[in-house]
Amino acid sequence: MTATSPVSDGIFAVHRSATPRPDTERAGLLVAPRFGEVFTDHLARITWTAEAGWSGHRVEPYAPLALDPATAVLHYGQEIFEGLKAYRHADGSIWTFRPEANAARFADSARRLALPELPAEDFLASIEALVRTDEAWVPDGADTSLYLRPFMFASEALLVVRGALRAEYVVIASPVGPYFAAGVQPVSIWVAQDLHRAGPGGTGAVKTMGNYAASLVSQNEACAHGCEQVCFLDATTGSNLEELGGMNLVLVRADGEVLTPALSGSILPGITRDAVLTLLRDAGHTVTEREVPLAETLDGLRTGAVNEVFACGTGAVVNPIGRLVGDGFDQAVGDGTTGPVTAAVRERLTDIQYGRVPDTYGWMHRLV
Amino acid sequence: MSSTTTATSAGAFERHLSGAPRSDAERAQLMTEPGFGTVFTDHMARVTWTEQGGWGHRRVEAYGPLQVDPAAAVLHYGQEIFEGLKAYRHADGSVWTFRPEANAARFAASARRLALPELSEADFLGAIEALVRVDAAWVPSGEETSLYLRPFMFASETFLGVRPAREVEFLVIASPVGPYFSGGVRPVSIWVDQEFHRAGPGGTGAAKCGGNYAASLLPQQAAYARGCDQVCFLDAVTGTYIEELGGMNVMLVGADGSVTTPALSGTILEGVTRSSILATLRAEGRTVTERPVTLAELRAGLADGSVAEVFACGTAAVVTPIGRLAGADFDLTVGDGSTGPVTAAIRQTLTDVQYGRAADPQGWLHRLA
Repeated sequence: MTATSPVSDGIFAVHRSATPRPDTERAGLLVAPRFGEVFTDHLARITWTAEAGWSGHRVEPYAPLALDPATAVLHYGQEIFEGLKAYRHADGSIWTFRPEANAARFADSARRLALPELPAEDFLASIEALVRTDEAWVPDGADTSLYLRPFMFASEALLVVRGALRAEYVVIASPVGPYFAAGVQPVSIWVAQDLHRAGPGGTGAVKTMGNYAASLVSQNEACAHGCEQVCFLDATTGSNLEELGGMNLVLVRADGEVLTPALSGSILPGITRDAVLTLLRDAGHTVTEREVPLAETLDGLRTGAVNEVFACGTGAVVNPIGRLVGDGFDQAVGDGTTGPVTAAVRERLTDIQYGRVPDTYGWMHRLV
Repeated sequence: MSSTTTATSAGAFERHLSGAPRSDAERAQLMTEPGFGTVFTDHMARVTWTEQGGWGHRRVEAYGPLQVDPAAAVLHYGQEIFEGLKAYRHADGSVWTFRPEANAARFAASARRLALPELSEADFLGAIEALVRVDAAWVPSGEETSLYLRPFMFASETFLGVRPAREVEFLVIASPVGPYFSGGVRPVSIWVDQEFHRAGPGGTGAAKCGGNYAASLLPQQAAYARGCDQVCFLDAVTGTYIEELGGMNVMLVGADGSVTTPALSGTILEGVTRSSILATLRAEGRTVTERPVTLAELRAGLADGSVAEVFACGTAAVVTPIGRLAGADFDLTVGDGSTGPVTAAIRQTLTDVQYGRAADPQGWLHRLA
């Protein structure tokens, strides 16, 4: 990939691609983008070494990374990532949602994975520099956005098991529509009862690849049972709901109480989860974070004490769950359609993200 | 060789030899004090899988950087597995490996847990044979040296959704190595981590995949900070049972000569060296027990002398004596801190078979070149 001479964007040197996709090609790619399949013309990048720390802040043409076959990430999974979105508002400006929270979680993940912490200002500056360079890639259709994927991996070539002395931080961006192919529809969830995503003292509370790798077989099992996603139970007792493969889980009771699994140490502390709980509290709901047994949930769904369940995360935002399926049960949630609390919180959150209502929480961060 | 050829041997692998292999002098230099896993040979073996075409394009090609798309699944969702085995040069110059069928079987089991395609035993062995034949000059002949072989498989598809990939690469790389620990074969100190765990029930602990090792790196740093070489993990549910080291199984030798090792719990890697040692000890008539072993029991045994030796075992370190066991509230010497007789004997027996210095009654060796 050839690049033009660099110009600077703050601390970042911007090497623009000499061969960006033409406007017409980009416009075609921005029509009904599928999730995570199309990428913009550039990426942002910073290199870390144990001797020199972080350096080489740059935006460069999107292109394959040349990795030695012995690169640690290909063997020992020393990697962390984040996910956030850039939203185009009606006036053409571009914003992202609570990026400081992602920066803080990225630092938490780095500590657990023995990777270097990236300063929050570098995290934010990398996103700003990339989105400013590729701003034409931020779509403006309903429920569309530019998905941003910051990630960091051990780039040292070594086969001894130890923390690497070299790491690469990269941000890539992908214009996306709804996470699920069918759009925002109630999904069916398969409850995995033998395999687990994360255990106590493990890496479940941070965003690292191993958690996702562990979930793939169960995801296949979900598909085989006609479900879109898998829900994991805790590894110790096998009885409490934890989270989906990549989303947190929230239950709404008929009495208006909102229930979600407490952060147990093996659940990812979702930023959308936190925002949704805040919005629901402010809308007058009692919000309880505690252990949520599967048995209690199924019971509540049968008696009607629990009448809505939804998943939340950056990718899918707020997505209604219409059915819970597992070994020995197949339980509809309410009448299987999107419930009113789910719909309202999704509306409220996306209104803030897309700038359709004032952001009274100070959650939005302008990028362009 | 077309991609539809059924691989039954190294012959199924096309050879695209490096145009710039290291010179004899340079190779000789690199093989002096090779360290562990820092020097690689001139070639690598490779097979590509797609959902439509299955496994194909078997080849040996020049060792060189892989062009990995920044959105390749392996860089985000950790869908990767690996193996480790060694090629040993015997006194007559022939080159052999140890129980590669066991590694092939474990690799297939790991693939199933990680939703990766299974590679046939024929392809696994064929790739190793093809690579070692091309790079035979890289198999060192010094004492305690070997050519470490690292087969690995990863999701190469460019895609950010969380689902199994439809494109996968399998590679074998090779590295001439000396002893795993830089101090050579000497008793090591072990830090017992009581805060973090390597794997939990229903997780990936019994598979050889990146995530288990990633989870172990922070505790490994804690071990270094306390002057220890390796970390020992306890079970994630109760925090009371000994599981394994970051990359090795652990065995206890009683004062009565019996050997005890943690049973395969589903969260412990089923080590090929572990099973070889257990089989050898049993064949010698020793009492060998696989059962849950508590940390409390181990501490008590070390304190009263009923546990006389402790050692770690794995492909990389073979058999390594453990001289000291430390944790948040204890610091115990194993025996007198030196290598015990049972540990030394089993290490000798096993390496004698591997290096062709003794008969191979179990038929464990497989000739490569």
